[in-house]
Amino acid sequence: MQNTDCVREAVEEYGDMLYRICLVMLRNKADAEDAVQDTFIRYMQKAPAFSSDGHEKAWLIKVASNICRDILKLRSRTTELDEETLNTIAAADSGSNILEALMQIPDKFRIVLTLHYIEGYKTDEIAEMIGKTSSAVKMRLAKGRKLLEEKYRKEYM
Amino acid sequence: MNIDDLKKSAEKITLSEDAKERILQKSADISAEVQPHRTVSGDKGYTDHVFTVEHYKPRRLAKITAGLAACAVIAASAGLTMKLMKNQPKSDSRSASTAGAAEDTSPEISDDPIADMLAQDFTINNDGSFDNGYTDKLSPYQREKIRELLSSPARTEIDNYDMTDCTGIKFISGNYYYFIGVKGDVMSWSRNYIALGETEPATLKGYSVSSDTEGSTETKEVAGIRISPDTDGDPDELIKKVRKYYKLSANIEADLRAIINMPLENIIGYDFFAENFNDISENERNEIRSYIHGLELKKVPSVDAALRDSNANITLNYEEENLKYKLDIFGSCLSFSVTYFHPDGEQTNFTSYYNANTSDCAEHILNIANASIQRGIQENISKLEEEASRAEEASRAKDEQTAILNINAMFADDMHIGWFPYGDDIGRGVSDEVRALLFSKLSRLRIEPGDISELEKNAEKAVVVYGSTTDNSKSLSVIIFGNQIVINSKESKDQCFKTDDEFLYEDIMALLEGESKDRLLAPYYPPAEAVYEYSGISEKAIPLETLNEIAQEINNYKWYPVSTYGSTQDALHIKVSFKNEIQDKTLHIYLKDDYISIAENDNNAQAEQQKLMNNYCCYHKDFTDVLKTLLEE
Repeated sequence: MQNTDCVREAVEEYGDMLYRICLVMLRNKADAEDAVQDTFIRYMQKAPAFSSDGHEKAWLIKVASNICRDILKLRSRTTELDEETLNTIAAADSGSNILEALMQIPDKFRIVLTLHYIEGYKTDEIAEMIGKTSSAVKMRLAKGRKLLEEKYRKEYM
Repeated sequence: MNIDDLKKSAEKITLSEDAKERILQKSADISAEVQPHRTVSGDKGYTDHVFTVEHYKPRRLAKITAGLAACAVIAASAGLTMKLMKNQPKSDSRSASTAGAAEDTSPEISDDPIADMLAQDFTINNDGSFDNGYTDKLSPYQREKIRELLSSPARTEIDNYDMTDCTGIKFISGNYYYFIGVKGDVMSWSRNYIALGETEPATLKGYSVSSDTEGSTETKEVAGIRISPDTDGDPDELIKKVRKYYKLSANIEADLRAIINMPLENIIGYDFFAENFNDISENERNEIRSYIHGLELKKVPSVDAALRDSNANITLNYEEENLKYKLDIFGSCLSFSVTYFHPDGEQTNFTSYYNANTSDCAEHILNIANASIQRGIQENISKLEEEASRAEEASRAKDEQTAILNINAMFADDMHIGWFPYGDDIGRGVSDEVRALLFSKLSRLRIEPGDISELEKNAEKAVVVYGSTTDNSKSLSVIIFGNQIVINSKESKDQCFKTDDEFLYEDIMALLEGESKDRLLAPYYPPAEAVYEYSGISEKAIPLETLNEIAQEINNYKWYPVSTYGSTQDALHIKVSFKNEIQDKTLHIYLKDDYISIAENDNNAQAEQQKLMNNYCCYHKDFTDVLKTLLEE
């Protein structure tokens, strides 16, 4: 098991990044915070050995996205964005509305767009993280971009 | 919408300090309470455990909603047993996110996972090898465009360009395959050597593409050869890429030369970089099922890797939730694997290998796979051709519209209409009547793209009809040759169109020639007086006899109405006055080189513009000399 100092260090290093991913995936602040918490608990419990910082970061993203996916699967219906989450998104958007548009498209596209355009991962790395083929990720990226563009044009332009 | 804004916006989202503290507190609490947890993530190989058996019914996979936790495959002589570990669905999402991700519980069992997989809507592909027999020859159009694209001399090499998401085309030739990818204004290509099914990536170079426009370099979109609309967004953009073939800039690299020099006829096939080429119909799926079900499988511990390079390397896939099934058929062997993606990010893979008499079965399945791939390719080719044809049609319609608009603009009220034989540069005017006939003829032509190079071949039978304002600030012209026209304006490049009128040139010339004015002076009699002057310096009376001779001479030539005098500087000027009870007119004849113009002034007219009317011109090199001789006498 990882000691709490290591966890603290990891939370400082990767907490914001994981929270962004979880918030984009779950569209709910409370769930996103819980997902981040669960990720770090898994991190502490498993205490995996990492070959590099990049490896550690990728592992955390993979676990967080799996946890988010489990939460999404258990939701009986698509949840609407609550006011608190909306406010957080709006504050971050500072007028551009692009993040808000991102939150409106289906989750399978949200995650690949987030990992690629926000976290800067390449398609094969994303494929590894989310357990899909690289070409599937490319498809999702392409379609996700299109959906995002359409949503943005329709509602924010 | 700028996608870069996404990153900027997202980076403003941070986890609150409270939340961080809560996480750390929770970690500390668990650290004190929870024991380390054993996982199966290290079990990557073949697992020889037997679990409780319960048949796993088809379609059950689709119903799994919570995380399936682990699976194992075991083979017996006639079949397989499998245990799928499954979590019970949790009613509360937050508890599931922790416990569900961490624990492996309830077993879900199958005694025949291959049958389970085949019961699903599995997909098929044969991308495991490059020489598996499917080929598709390039069309002459594609071949020509590829050569054109690659042969363009100018390119700029760029470094470290991320070609993620690029789309393109693969070529296979001998032991090499080549990939040409396109993304934005960058084209990349790679050459890979294929040895026993393994590829060694060679250099991957990217080049920016630009075109020279009047000395300035402007970055343009790169040409594409074949781009799947599914993989690159906006179809209009794709069409633009497909339809535009720009010149490239900078150095030619050795590997590119290799591609260029490679006889394209030797390229045995191509493989589009796109998905969904492996869609199969339910009938085909049933056919595959029947082939596999008939196999007698004999489990073996492993398979010699070399066998993987045999010709029939095909894969059946089925993926659902966290499970992925894969059935590979290669040579006389078959492998079946189940991969489970754990909620914690790990993967567990179980693979079994079998010997079976797969030769017939593989051949049949390969045929189905190839047919599906071909269908996919053909579908995409058709889609692209359809889109390209639509784009071409739209582009043509736009060109035609512009052409018609230009012709209309040429006949606008403020435009003087004139014409001259192609190669000449002095205009003749037209009357209102001919102007209307010309407009009617030209504006109603049905046109399609023509060949401007044919103009020079027909230069002697070409005529220019032009329209220009008095100050020449606006001008448009149409060159007519054969049944083709070239439209030229200051704003745009020459546009050449073929018309549906086979005798266009002849008809237009008949209209223009019909403007010729003979017996110009006949109505003017008797002239009261006539004088001539040379550049306004001297003025001399012309004897009546001489004037009549001049009139007769003038009557020998064709005269064309013109809208303006043209330059009268240094011209011989003859003024003839006709003043009597009926009229008070002055005829001005200007003689200069082979150009003679005649203007008639109505001295009784009130307005200035009415005084100057009926301008005509005539071209004849000898005529000036004839007139001079007459006058000198």
